[in-house]
Amino acid sequence: MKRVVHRLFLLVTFYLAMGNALAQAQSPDELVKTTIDSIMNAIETDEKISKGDIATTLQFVEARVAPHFDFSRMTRLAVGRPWRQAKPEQREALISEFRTLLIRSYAAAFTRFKGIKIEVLPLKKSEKPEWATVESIIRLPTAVAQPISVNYEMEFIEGRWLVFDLQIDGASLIINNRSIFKREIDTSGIEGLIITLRQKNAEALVADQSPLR
Amino acid sequence: MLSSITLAGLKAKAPVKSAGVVVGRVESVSFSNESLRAVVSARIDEEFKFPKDSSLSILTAGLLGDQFLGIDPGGDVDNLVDGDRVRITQSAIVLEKVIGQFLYGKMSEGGGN
Repeated sequence: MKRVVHRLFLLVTFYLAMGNALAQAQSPDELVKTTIDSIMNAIETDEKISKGDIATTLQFVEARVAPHFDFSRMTRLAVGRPWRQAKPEQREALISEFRTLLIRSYAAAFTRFKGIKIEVLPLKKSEKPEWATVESIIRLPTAVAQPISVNYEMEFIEGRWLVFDLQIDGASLIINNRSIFKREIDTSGIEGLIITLRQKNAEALVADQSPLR
Repeated sequence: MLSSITLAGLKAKAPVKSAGVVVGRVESVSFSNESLRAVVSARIDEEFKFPKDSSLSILTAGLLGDQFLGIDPGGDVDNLVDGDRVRITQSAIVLEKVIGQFLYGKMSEGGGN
């Protein structure tokens, strides 16, 4: 009985501690907003970034954007069922290559963000306090273009909010990558997927002729 | 099992399919006043087990066919249980919106050059 009480007490303190951390942390919508603001500011004011210098852009993305994404979870989700069969070193390789691919494609698109307006919508109530979906709207500079909705699926893990999926106009980054990865794994296995990702990253590297870091 | 997504024409009793096989049915389609998003509840037949991180998408049979819910297995060791909510979801692709974006996209390209 004593043991049960003790466990219960631990559980309660754990929840209290988590609640505290949640209350103290920056709210997820604020986090998205400040990150977007710093990106837009860099595009406007940093000469190298606004000219499309990929090395500087990558540095910026690594420092300011990447820390808010849960890349290992994103990789696990995108690989789906075969993840269970993957060896630890294969998992490591998948996470690192997928991370590189996402960061590179994001950095490469940076100059196209010029002139867009991003509005982060007020946070709506979620089912659990540690879950959040932050909604935003991107307005393109051309008046006729329809606005694009971008949702960030986030979770409060180890004291901070991390993004694990994006929905661009309703299309999920994870689901789309899952179907691409599935095709690759079906034909050439996990090793094949790692090789394809490596090739893609190497090609991108040649294309912009600059070192990764 | 619940999920919040934007729907186009998904209705109750629509099939839930995985790899083309019917594994369950949509129970209800409603709107949450709290989250201001659509909520779909679906029942999966007990004989089928899906990992907790499985994803749901609203799909259309053919170009103009009926809509159904597609479930894609994830890699989690734990399986979904009664009452779980799926967070990896994909809305219906609304054809009018895609066409609109394509047309407007072409227009702005033409205007810019």
